[in-house]
Amino acid sequence: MARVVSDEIRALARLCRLELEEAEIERFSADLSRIVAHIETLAGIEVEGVEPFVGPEAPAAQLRADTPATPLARERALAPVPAHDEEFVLVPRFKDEM
Amino acid sequence: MAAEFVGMGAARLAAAVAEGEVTAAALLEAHLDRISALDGEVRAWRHLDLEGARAQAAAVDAARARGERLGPLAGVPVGLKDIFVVEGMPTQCSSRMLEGWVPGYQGTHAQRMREAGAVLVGKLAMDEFAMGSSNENGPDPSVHNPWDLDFVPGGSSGGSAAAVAARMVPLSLGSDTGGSIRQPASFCGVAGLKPSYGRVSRAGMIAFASSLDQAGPMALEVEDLALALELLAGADPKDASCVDLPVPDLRAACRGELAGMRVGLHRAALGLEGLDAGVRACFEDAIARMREAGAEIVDIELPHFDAAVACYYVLCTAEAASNLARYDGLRFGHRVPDADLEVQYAKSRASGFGDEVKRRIMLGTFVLRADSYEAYYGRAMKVRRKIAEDYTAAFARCDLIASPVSPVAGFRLGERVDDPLAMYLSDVFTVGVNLAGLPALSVPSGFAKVGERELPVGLQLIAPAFEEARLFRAGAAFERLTPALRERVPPLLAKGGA
Repeated sequence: MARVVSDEIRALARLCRLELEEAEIERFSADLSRIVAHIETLAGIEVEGVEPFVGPEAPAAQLRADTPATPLARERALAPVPAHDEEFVLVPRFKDEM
Repeated sequence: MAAEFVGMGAARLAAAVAEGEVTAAALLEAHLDRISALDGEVRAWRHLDLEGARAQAAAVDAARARGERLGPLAGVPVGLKDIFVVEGMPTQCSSRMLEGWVPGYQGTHAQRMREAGAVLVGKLAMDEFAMGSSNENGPDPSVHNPWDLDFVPGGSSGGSAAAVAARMVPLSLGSDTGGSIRQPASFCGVAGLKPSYGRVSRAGMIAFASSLDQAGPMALEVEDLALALELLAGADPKDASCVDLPVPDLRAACRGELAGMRVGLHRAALGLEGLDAGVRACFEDAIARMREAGAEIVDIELPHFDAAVACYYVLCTAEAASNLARYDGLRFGHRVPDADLEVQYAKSRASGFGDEVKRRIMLGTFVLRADSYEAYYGRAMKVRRKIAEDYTAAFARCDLIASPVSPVAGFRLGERVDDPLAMYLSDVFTVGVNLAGLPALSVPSGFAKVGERELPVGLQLIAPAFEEARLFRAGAAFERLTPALRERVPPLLAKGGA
């Protein structure tokens, strides 16, 4: 499947929450087709029985002690939020009244 | 008077401040003069914190006047890639998506630099969300290579490399997910280190691909990288992937010799299509110098070398698609208001992200989709293990591996912007290191012609995980073999600066 057609790009854009313009859909379709064709060269590598490598193994990584600490103050956490009521992040209504 | 210190290394400058040869305040002003003389052309800086930097410099001078013991970087001006969170300083990852975001907390890297006495001058330009190899991705003007302003500085830590090359600061921090420290270091003729995965905390470094990202230093001298890594490394309660291993005396390692080291050479990679003849000649010259200095050159095999770029672009885009899902237009930065939440997400993200970021989110989502997961993401994770095992097998025969950093010495601004695949393929020498979690160094090794122009070329040295000391031993020894390279500065410096 080396060709990523425009309809597929539209479906992907919905999954990515990206509103794309027609010209972008055309361009990404061409770009992704070429990139996916290159990625498909991985199919030629024998991976039967190989364990997936999730990330480099850390020899001495550890979790911090589970002790209470002071969290980021609410006003600091809310400072960069585009819309808030000083208590919560404000979002458009996405659900009807229950 | 302080101008004579501009161009010296970080350790030398810290000593000058400690000895009272120059004040931190004067040192800062001399570097700021250099920035104001040259940055109109280079455009390395996204944000300068003049007030904050002057206050930090004054604090260092006051501490010295009180007879206090100064930190190892006291009074040294340092620049941070815009990917690093600095409390109170705009932090935007060169993206419209984070416009206006001023973090209310301190990142580990800024904190450790501050504790060492460094003066944080400001934020350096980068490709948007660290995605790119040329510093052309994002809403800001492109950075220019100080060696030739028609050329890119490399990326994604292009601002960090250009600022050091133009002697605007002696030390900067960058991040490296697939070569983003080493490639711009090579293009700009500076030294850059990508530490082992887990050596340096990722807390306070905006995530791109979490299993690959590492922060590291860039400087004029290898020994300054060692000093910076000693300060940056070490466990961090805010990052469970950051290991609690002792950090050896890396500056002492810089006094070692190449003699007695076994340097692995993957000859097959030198036949790579697209490897520039000048870059290859530079590399072969570096190998010859190392051999003359007593290193034993050993042939190695990396059977899955050719698969690294494909494997990397599956995994890094998948991780990026997940990491960048947090930019929903709700919690920070850019928002396009709409009455419908779904539409608001899609409009905010579409206008907040640039082309390359969208391309990678789309590709990452594609490889993670239920019907393609096994064929792409699942397979790439298995190929990643084979690539990592290749390095393990190679290191049974050698102490470190040498290779070019990039197949080319550089390219012109605009030359590759319309060909993302060509841009990805040029990461062939660097991405395997990130996939395997290894440390690697780029150290200046010569110059190569690009048309009529001549640009710097770096040598890459790769070590087994947590063996950075070997890189410093070999890298600093190599630096001593090539003193003429240190004499040569970007032509731009002759006409401008302090």
